Amino acid sequence: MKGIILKDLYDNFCILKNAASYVFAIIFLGLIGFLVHTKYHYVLFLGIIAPILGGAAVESSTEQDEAANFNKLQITFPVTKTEIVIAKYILGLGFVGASNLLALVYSLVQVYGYHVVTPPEALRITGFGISISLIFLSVIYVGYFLLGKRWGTIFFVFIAALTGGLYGAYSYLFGLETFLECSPFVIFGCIFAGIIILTLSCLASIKIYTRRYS
Amino acid sequence: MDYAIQVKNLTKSYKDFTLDNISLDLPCGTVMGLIGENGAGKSTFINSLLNIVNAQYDRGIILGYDLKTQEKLIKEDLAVIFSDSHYDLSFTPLFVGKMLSKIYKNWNEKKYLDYLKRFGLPEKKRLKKFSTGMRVKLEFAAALSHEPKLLILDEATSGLDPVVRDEILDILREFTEEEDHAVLISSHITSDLDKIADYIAYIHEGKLRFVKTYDELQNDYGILNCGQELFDSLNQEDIAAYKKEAYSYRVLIKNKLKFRKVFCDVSIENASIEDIMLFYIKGEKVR
Repeated sequence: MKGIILKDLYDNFCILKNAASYVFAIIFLGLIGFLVHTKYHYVLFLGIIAPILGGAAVESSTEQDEAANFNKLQITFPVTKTEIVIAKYILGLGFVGASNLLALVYSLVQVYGYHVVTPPEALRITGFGISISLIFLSVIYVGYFLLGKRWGTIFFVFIAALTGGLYGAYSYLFGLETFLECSPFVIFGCIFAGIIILTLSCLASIKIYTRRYS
Repeated sequence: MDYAIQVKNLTKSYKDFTLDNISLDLPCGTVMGLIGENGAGKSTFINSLLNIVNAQYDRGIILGYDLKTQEKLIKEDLAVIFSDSHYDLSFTPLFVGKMLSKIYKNWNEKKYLDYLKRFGLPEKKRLKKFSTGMRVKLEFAAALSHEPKLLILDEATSGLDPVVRDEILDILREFTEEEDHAVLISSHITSDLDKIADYIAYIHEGKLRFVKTYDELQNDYGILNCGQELFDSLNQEDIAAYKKEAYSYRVLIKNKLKFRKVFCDVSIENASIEDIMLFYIKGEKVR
C-alpha cells in the first residue's frame, strides 16, 4: 500500500500542473482568508473550502492512472484490489488532515488575531468542517471510482457547487448563528455520521473497483 | 516446482466472447509463446491468470501457489509487461524504482540501477522524453529487479524496431537460463517466437487449438506446393489446412516425417509459426 500512496503523492505534488494548482489554490485562499474578516467568510472557509481541498487528492491520481492505463499494471503488483482502494482513502484522509490543519492555523489567526469568532464558536465550526470534509471525501471518492476522471471531475464540481449553494441557502434562511450556537452533541453526531459515511463509501468503492476489474 | 503455470479448464465468458476451457502447463525453465489472431482470447487468458478478470477454472496453480487463495504470494514472484498499460509518463526511472521498492519485498535496487545503466536509461529524465524502445527497456528493468520467477509479456514488444526486439530477446534468454524461471509471451511478431519459444500455444476463437513444443512443430508441420492430382491423392489425416491458388494448392501437412516416407520425392518447405497460424486461420479444412 505504501507504494500506491507514494505514487499518488507523486501524481499530486511532483507533476508541475498538479502541484501548481495546489500552490495557486493555497495562495488564493490564503489571501482571501487573511484579508477578509467576517463570520460569514470564516464559516465558508472552514465549512466548505477546506473540505473541498481535502477531497482533491483523488482527482490528480485518477487522471494520471487513466492516461497510462496504470490500474491494469497496478493489479499485477502484490497488492489486493481492496488494498489499492484503501491506500487511496488513506491518502484522502491525509489530505483531509492537512486541509484541517490549514484551517486550524486560519482559525487561530481569526480567533486571536482579528477576534472574528470566539474560541467556542471556532471549535463548533471546526467540528462541522471535519464532518463535512469526511462526507465530501466519501461522496467524491465514490464518484471518481464509479465515473472515472472526466465525469468524476464534473461530479466533483457539481457537489462543490451544491455544498456552496446549500450553505448560502441555509445562512439566508436560518442565519449563521444557528451554526455558531448549536450543541456540541450535534457536532459530535455529525463527525460520527461522517465516519460512518466514509466507511460505507470505502466499502462501496472497493465493490466498484473489484467489479470493474473482474 | 516443475511447472510455473498449471491451468485446467479455465473459462471466461463475456456477452459476445467465451474463452473456453483452456488447459495448459508451462514447465519451469522454458518460454511459451501464445499465438492467435486479434480477439482470439490471448489477453483474456493472461488477464485471467493475473486476476485482472475473474475467470472460472478447475485448477489454477502459478509458481506452486493457488491462484484463488495465494494471489499476493504469486504476484511477489511474477512480473508482467503489457503493451497497453504503463508507468505514468511523468515518472522518472528513479521514482519508478522508489515506488516499486515499497511494493515488492524482494526489490533489488542495485540490480535495477545496473539495468538502467546497461540499457542506457537516464535515471532522472521523465519517461515522456524517452523513445518507445527506452520505455519498454525501463519496463523490463523494473520487471526483472524484484527477482521474479515468471515473466508474462502481453504484446510487450509490439511497435519496437528489430534492434530493440533483439536486445529484448537476449534479456529473455538470459532470464530463462535459471532453471526455475519461465516466460509466457503473447506476441503477433511470430518471428520472435521462432527465435526463443520452447512451446507454442495456439488460441483461436477462444479455444486452445494446440500446445506443442517448438521442435514438434518444426518436425510435424511442413508446407507442400502441389497440383490437383497430388492433392487428391493425399491422405486427409495428413492435411491440417490448405489454400487453393490459381493453378495449385498450398497444403499445411501435419505429419511431415510420416508423409515424407510415403512421398519421398516431393519437396516440403519448413513451416514457420506464422505459416501455421495463417493456415489455421485462413486456410480451408478438409471435410
